[in-house]
Amino acid sequence: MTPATVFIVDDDAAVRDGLGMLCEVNGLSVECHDSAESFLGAYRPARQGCLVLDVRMGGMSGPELHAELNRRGSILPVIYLSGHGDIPLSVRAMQAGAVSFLTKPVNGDELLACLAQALREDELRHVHASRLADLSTREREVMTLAIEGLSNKEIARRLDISHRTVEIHKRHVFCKTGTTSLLELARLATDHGLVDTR
Amino acid sequence: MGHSEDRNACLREAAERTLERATPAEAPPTQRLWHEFQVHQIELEMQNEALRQSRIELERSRDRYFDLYEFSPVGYLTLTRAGLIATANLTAATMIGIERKYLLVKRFDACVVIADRDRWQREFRSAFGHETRRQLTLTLMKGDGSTRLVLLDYLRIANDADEPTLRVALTDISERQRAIQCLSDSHVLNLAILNSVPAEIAVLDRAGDIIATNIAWQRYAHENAREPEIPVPCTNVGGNYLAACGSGAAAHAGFEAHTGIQAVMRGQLPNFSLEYPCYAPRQRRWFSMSVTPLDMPDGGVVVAHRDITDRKLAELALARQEAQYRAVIELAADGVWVIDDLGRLLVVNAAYARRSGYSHEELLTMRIVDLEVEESPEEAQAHMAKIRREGSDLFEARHRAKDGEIWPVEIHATYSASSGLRTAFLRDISERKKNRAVGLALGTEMENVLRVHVARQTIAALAHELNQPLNAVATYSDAALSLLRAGNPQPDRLRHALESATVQVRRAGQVVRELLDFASHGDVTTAAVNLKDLIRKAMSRFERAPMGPIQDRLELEPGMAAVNANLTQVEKVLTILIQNGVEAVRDTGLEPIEITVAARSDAAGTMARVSVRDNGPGIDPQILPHLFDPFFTTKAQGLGMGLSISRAIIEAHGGQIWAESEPGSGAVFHFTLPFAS
Repeated sequence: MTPATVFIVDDDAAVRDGLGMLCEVNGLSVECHDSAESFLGAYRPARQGCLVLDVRMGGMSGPELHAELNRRGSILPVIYLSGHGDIPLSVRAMQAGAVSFLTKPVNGDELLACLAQALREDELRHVHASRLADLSTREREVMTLAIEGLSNKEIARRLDISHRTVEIHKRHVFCKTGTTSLLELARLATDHGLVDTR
Repeated sequence: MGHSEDRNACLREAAERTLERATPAEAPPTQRLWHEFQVHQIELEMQNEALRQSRIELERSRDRYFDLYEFSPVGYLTLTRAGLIATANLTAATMIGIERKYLLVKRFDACVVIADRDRWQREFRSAFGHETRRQLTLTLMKGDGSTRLVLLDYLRIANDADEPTLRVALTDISERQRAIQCLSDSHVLNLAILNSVPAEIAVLDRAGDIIATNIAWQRYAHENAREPEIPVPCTNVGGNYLAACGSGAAAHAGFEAHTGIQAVMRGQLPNFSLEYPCYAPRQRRWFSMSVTPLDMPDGGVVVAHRDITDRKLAELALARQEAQYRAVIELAADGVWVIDDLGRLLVVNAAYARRSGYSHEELLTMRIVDLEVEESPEEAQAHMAKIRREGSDLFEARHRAKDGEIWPVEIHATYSASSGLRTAFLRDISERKKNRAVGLALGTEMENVLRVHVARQTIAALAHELNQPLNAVATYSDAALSLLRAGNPQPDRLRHALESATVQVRRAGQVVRELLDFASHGDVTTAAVNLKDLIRKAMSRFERAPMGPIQDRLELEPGMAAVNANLTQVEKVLTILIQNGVEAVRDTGLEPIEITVAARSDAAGTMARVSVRDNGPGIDPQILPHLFDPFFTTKAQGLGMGLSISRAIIEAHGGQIWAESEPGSGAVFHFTLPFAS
């Protein structure tokens, strides 16, 4: 497994350099990009870490990059750096699932605390993702229908399998994902974009 | 024997007294003999009577003993040397489950289960060789096939007359055994329950000594004992927990725990719980401790610890996020609301409270309808529906302040489907409305108002430019501090951090100077500036900039006089115009990019005119009138401030700025500056 990387995307060279240096001297591995486009070119879903993202950038803006990552099903935690005067933007960013946003000029301790939290979050998300990846196609189908609220009997009819088989699949799903309730399972699956509960 | 002599003497005395009452005291010898005989006869009769009495008593007593023997809860047997049952009481018969008449002369071995039989036979033979009382536990098989556990207590009885026999007492201990088993089962069950709980649990007696712990507790105590940095007091079974709480290692939380546990032990508190942080060398953890009294005569308590680090970390992260939100909302110049489905205000910031005149507390008891004027339920419904459908809405409304003043407000509302809450940003637009009214009435005033407006927007834009270097300085400094704390292992990096910070501070300083220049736009410091030098300097920036091939041309009117201008600001205008031109051409993909800057005197000869021409697609005639409006932009990025800043600068110099475009042949921007007189 590759170590977790802090991806810094900011169009200002000095901001990038300073952030990168702060992270590196605190033992974090860093990868800097001067634009959202450059980051997207290097982006691989399997890479672990977190994204430190400037709101205002030339070319694709921070929120646009975030939306694109969400569209690609990314689970990379995002920390925004923003100046004052972008309140509606910040609110939208948080609604889009950012783990936090910090105001420039940023407080180093606060940034490092946020990074630590985001990296922990990322690790957790990857654990969940790998559990979901273990599911077979059939198990995934059963899970999706169960989350939609269908009873075992309805699922059996829909997939043309026996009621008993549905029960077994369901038990495997709970077992593999480490969840104990349908609610918990639904939350996990929604977080990873496997089902849309809205 | 002495006793019976006494009794005989008593009898004799009593007989004499009986006869004395019947005969005179003085009597002749024959009479004396007769008397003696009579006394003896009466004495015999009385003796007889006494004997009869004692025999009845003896029989009663024998019956009692017989009953005791028969109905005693203990079974009695007598076994002959051959192992046959010679006598048995009723209880023994019941225990063996065979009627007594069939039991006698049956072999006792036959009643013992096969598994125990050898053992019994050995013991039986050995018992006949000794005269000591012995015990053995056996399982007997009843006539109906069921079994019961019996304690045998036996002794060899030997007298000279008869063959020696073995007297056996049987006590049924099946029930007792079952109870013991139950007790042991429940103990195992309790332990299993205790061990299955993730919490760390210890049971304390009244003195605070640990009398039991579960596996989680033992594991925790073991792990902690391995950390050399923390001196861990003994928290194993046998240790005293109160003493451990009171020791220095446990610090303040330990004192609270100590007090709490004692209060529960004394019955002053029904129970007690405490959340406390625990500083391990590498990480910070939190625990929750709960103390519950043991409902037992000896008292004591159950202490349970639970690791709540995950929950605490989540809570802290949430609190930090909330604090960030709050800080942004409170600092905002515009009003901010969070409203629930019923239109109640859940969050309202200081800016709105200030503008409306209501206190924060008052506002939190109000609803939209209490603050908005003239919005009919239908209108409100329509707004709500649009917000839900499109996620956000921008509209104007009128609000009533506490003192009755009605003020116009621009509302930007967004709706979050997940929380069901609406967030609204409220901007006081009375100034804007007033300005518009005044501007319409007085054309000249409008310019001033607009200029103020532009200056304000400029400051907002420049704040961003200021934040960038400041942010870099902040991070460089933090990095430098981290390096120094680590003992300066990389002097080169430290130097780089400090040098870069210095460069960024200068950059910020430059922005501040520009900002100040703008704030005092009325008296911009101007000097006589050679336009040729100024234009060359601005263009040279683009020669170094990585923007692709640019062909720039400079067309200068020979012998042109110097202009009266602020060098930095006019350079900024030129930079903005050239940059716009370069981007306009680059976006179309045309190469090479051609930028021509020309400078000449205008017709009247009082002003110098500078023109920047590009070879891009030109400007759509429809948007030409809005080019210089603040926040007007056709680019995907950027604030749309460049041209409005340029206009503010040029107009402050007493010049003018405008654009021309013929579709297909590029765009030209012109500005004029007064000659230095």
